[in-house]
Amino acid sequence: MNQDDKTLDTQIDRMLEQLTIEKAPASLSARLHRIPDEESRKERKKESRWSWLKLGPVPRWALAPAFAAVPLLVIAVFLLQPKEPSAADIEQARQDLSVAFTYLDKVGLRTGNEIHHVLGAELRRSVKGPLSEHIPFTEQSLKEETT
Amino acid sequence: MSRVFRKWVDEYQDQAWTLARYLLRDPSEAEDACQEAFVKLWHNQDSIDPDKIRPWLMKVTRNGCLDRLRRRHPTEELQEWHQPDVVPGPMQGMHQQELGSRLKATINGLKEPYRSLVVLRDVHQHSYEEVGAVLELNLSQVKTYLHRARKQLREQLAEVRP
Amino acid sequence: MKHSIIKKMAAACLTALIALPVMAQEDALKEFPGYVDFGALSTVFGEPTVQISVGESLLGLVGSLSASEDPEAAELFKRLNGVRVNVFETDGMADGAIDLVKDVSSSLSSRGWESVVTVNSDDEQVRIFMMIIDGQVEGITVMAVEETEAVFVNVIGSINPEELGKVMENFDIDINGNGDHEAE
Repeated sequence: MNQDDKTLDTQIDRMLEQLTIEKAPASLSARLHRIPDEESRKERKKESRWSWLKLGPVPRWALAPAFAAVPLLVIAVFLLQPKEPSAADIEQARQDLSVAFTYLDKVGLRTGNEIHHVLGAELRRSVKGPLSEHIPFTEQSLKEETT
Repeated sequence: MSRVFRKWVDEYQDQAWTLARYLLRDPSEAEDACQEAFVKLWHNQDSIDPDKIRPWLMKVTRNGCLDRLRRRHPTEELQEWHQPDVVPGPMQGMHQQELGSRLKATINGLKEPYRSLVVLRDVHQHSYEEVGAVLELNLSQVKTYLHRARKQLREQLAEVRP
Repeated sequence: MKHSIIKKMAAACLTALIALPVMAQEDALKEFPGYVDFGALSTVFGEPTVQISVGESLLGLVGSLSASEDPEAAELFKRLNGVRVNVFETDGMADGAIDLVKDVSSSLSSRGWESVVTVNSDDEQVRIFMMIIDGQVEGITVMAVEETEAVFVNVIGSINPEELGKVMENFDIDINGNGDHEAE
């Protein structure tokens, strides 16, 4: 780092020290202070909306939403059943697996190259032999390294 | 409950506002994001450790801002914060105010999580541990990334030098 | 007014219900010892350019469909619980990726994962870990960072690595568009 950079660093550090927290505007402060009253009001409204459930005889028109919910429930149960994958899903999965394994192969190839570089070809063969029992090197990557 | 909540509002609203402004820049969006975060605090206050209110709130504010950023249309124009009417020029000879504006604009231009890191650590003066809690990073990550953030700031500010 | 509110509620419920099985699949994988959470990566690098998560049922189906041509794949996939890949562009910030790989590596080691390969060179870093329980490989994690991209792979399930290597050959595709892959 040269002298100019050091000066710039010092300037930046001093400036960062002087950056201050900005005061929230009055409009925001007012909104935030209203939250307890507004949220409490919403909670009370929600409770009273469902309070008819605890009452005695209910007018028939008020039961309409409940009846509408029945087909929804049926659909929900149907959707929650494990969905059979379609042919398109299976093909997509197959392609995804191809991509996944190709990345694994790329890594294996790079790792093999690095071992080759560091240890030399002869030593590498004797190291990589046992290693390949545990690492998914492929025939392809092994071939490419020896050519 | 409301009394404690209002005390938190008084204590943390400025910090939440500053963070949201740096991330979103648009003041009305920043207000909305802050309100959303405090509403979540109201609904979850019983389950949060009182000693961890500040990092919790900063994390929720930040996540809310990042969600808004992701939903934004790329062509939308935003009001720049403290946008100086200054043509980029050499750092030396810049007045303190211009330098501060330039620095703020540069911080605004940092990618995440570097921008949040600088705001939380250098502007809010949070501890490394608190910054880690907000950003879900461990201590060594916080220090390493902060170092990188400062490096980016230095590089971008140095570009304006002759 | 009442009907439109009900309609909106129904739409919201349906959307949430449709999303449940997908979320449930990834959540289900978290239970396995061979699972590794790559969640923190998005915080640093943003959205991945490639994101793959294939669960148990699809693995089984792919395997059984190719059983006649590739019985080894069928056998391997029957025992796998999941295959996950996240690939990120490092945008020239490979240093950040390398530090993250080191942190993830320490975390894996402390959780009982065994390091089988470590490559540290100027232009790339590779880590390969295995979760071995009672002599059986229950997970493989591969992390590889080079100048332009960082690759994270997590294979979950009872794995015979030699079998995996043979199966990978048959699934090879050309991801770089160099036309140098073998035909199946």
